[in-house]
Amino acid sequence: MSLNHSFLLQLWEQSRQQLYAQLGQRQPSAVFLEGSIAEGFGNERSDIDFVAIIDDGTEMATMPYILFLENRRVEVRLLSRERLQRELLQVKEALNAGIESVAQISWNQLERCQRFIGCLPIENEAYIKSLQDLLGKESLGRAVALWFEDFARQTGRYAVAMLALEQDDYARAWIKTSVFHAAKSFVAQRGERYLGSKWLSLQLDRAQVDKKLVQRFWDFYTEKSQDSSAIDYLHKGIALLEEFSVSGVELNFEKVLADSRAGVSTWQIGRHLHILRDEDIFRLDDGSARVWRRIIWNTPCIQIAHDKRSAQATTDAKNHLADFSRAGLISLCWGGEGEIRARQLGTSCPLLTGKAALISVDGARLSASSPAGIQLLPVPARRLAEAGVELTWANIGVENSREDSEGALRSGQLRVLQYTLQRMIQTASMVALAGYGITPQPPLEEAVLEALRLLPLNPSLVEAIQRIETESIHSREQGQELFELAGQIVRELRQLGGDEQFPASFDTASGWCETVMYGYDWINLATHLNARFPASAVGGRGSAEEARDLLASSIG
Amino acid sequence: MQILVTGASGLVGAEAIARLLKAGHTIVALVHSVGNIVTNDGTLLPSRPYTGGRGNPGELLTVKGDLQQDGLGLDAELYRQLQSSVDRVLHSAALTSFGRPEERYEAINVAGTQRMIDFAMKKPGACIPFIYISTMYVCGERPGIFSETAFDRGQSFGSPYEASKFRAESLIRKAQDNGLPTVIVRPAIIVGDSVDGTMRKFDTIYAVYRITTAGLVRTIPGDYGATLDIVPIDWVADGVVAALENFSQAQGRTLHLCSDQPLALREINDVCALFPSFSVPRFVPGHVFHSYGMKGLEKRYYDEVISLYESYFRRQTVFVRDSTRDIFAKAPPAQGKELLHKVFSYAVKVGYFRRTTHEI
Repeated sequence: MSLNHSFLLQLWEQSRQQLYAQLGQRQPSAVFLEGSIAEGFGNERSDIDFVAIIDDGTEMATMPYILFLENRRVEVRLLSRERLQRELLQVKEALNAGIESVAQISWNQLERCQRFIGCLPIENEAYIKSLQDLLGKESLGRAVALWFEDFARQTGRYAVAMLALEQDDYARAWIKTSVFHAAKSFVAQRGERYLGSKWLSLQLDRAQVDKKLVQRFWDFYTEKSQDSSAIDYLHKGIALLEEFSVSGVELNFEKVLADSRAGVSTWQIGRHLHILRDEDIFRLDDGSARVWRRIIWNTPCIQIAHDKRSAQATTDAKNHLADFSRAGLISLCWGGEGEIRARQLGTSCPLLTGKAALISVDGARLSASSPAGIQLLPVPARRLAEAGVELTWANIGVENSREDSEGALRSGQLRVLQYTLQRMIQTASMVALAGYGITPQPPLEEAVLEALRLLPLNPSLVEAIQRIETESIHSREQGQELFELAGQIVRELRQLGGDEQFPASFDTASGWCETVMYGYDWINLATHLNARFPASAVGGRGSAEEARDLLASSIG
Repeated sequence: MQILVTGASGLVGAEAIARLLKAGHTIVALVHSVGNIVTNDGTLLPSRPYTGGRGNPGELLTVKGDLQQDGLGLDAELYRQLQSSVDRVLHSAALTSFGRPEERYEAINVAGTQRMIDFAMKKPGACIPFIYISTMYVCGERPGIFSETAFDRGQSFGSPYEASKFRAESLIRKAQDNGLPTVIVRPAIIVGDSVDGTMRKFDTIYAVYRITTAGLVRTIPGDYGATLDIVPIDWVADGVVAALENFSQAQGRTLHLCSDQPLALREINDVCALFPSFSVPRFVPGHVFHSYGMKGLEKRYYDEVISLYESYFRRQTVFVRDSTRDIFAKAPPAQGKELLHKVFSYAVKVGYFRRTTHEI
């Protein structure tokens, strides 16, 4: 969807006037439009994202200013020339050093560079062009392709690891992610450099990828789990990876090794094993403990799990190893090539507080079964704060996906709608998981699986979730129905096991704004406790500043 | 130089020989039973039998002998030829395993050392410069600082091995007073190499931790603040070679090969806890520990192995190597917890440390 230039100029002029305090005393060196609309995607719900480059030696926060003009949401960011230049050159340098270095670049940085290179100049095109030339479209395309290639390889290996541990659903989820990102790498090599995932269907068309390959890809992507065994599904996935030029993933379980993680140690107290992971401590039951005692670092998981007593005992041991890895007690490595960098996060088990979630948007819930007016929470303060921040994040994620879904539905972008509805359910699952103190959050790929595995969900909710996860959307009517269903699921997941959360409705602007304000309360506590902030949807450690920025961009 | 090395098939002996050969020295290895001389990483050092006279530079010659016999068990002519052709003696042979009859330590460690002193001192014309491998643990059980000049402090000993090494070092010191040019080298507890913990001979600390980490003995009398001083074999061998090559500067002195980061037992526990299969031993004060409360296999392991090393779990001696540094300045490439982690990892990798049962 494109907007005409004079309309954009007029919007920018209005924005500049509204942001007099910020822009009245400093003249931007250049102004550009970035994001979906600049890239030629987008729909009538898409935001208008302006960036003003400031070259006066100051370093601005990345916090955007949110405006509502002409019935559109407009975001304005100020970016220093130094920072832009530094980040572009860093990408260039990483590209020269090879794929390992490119893989180290954060998603956020690569995306900032990509959005700049793919931008639409509003003011001072020559200035913008001279900065863009520091990296250039070609180099950026290669960096994006390499970044996705590495991610596809790592997640593909993780899928193999999950299959080695007989975690079939997890293996399916990860091979899907892997193939999806291999496709992103493939189109990036063909000029489609935009990082965001939701437009992949349009990118495949624009890059004129072989129609048959695209069809095989979507067939694979939307295949229902009952249609083939996990091992066949992985075979298909790995074949697609190769077609998308991603090598280094093979169905060889001997390659999947268990190795140690920093901060993890083993302590037996009496007859019981306790595993320390930084400041968290886990108690193992006897079955888990027996498997834990068998672990020899840097050994194939299947070798550790092998139990000559019975196939069932081996399967049980594999389940335990998978749990250890999800809890961040062991790391999974790919023989000779280090840790599989797909799921670095050591998440946790639900807090044992009965059926109700412990944490809500407005703080901790009191235990209904205790009459005490003052209750010691069964969770360290920092964990509470981290879970609270993540709960806020996930709620923002839900609302962003809802907006994207609405836009896609109105524009009839059905593949995009399918993607954004799934994203909505994944982020709503994260809300529910965070409510139970599960932090760091699992990656998006696993959010639904982990919610199904760990939380007390009723069967009708599970069925509804599975519908969104697997149903292909062929018409607007069906899209409308699933959109409403997704809204229902979100409501249920938000209220899981407890009273309705305040604010009762996230649909009203005031309710939503209030939720975001509570987010700042969480940030205050988390900052005080030096807690970990999520850097992005894909995890990692962010800063309090970035957290505030993210919240600021959510008030709408 | 032609150097006579005793204990050539031992850890320190073989590693020192490999380095000395590389430096172009000729080595005559006195071996108890003619066998292969293998370095710590398993490399076989090619050799031929010693038949008298001087060998070629970089050549390893072996001669079968016995420290427990007069004349080292050699025929008189060969003894004479060896004595007249050797420029240095490196005496590293010793019985180091614990739990053997006392008279064995006496015969090998004490009387054997006396025989080597005689060999070096009775060379017609001049004494043969002599390097003696002692141990840090001649310090015995007395706490406090133990420097290079310290020796007889009226200390008690934790084992017949220690006592025998103390007596042997006394003989060396007496010979020194009588004109034998000597250097005494005292290594701390020798463990696997500093690169990845490689070790071909598991003994001492390995034997103890094999049992405790497997959970076969859970409780040991000891103090969490007691320290064990471990040093990597490669660094010890470098130190011995430095003593040999700087003999004139080192002559008359004692060199300490101890680490800068002795490990407190609580730190050793920290390292143990990094291995999922390891049990972490409990250290309880001696006065509340009663081994007779143990049952079956645990008691047997305790009595037959752990009790031999018990004294090490309460020692708080501080070793210093200040004056060693002008002869051998290099610090151990790995020490403290880092070294211990490598040592344990290697022992796990080769299957020396393993749980025989997976019951917790």
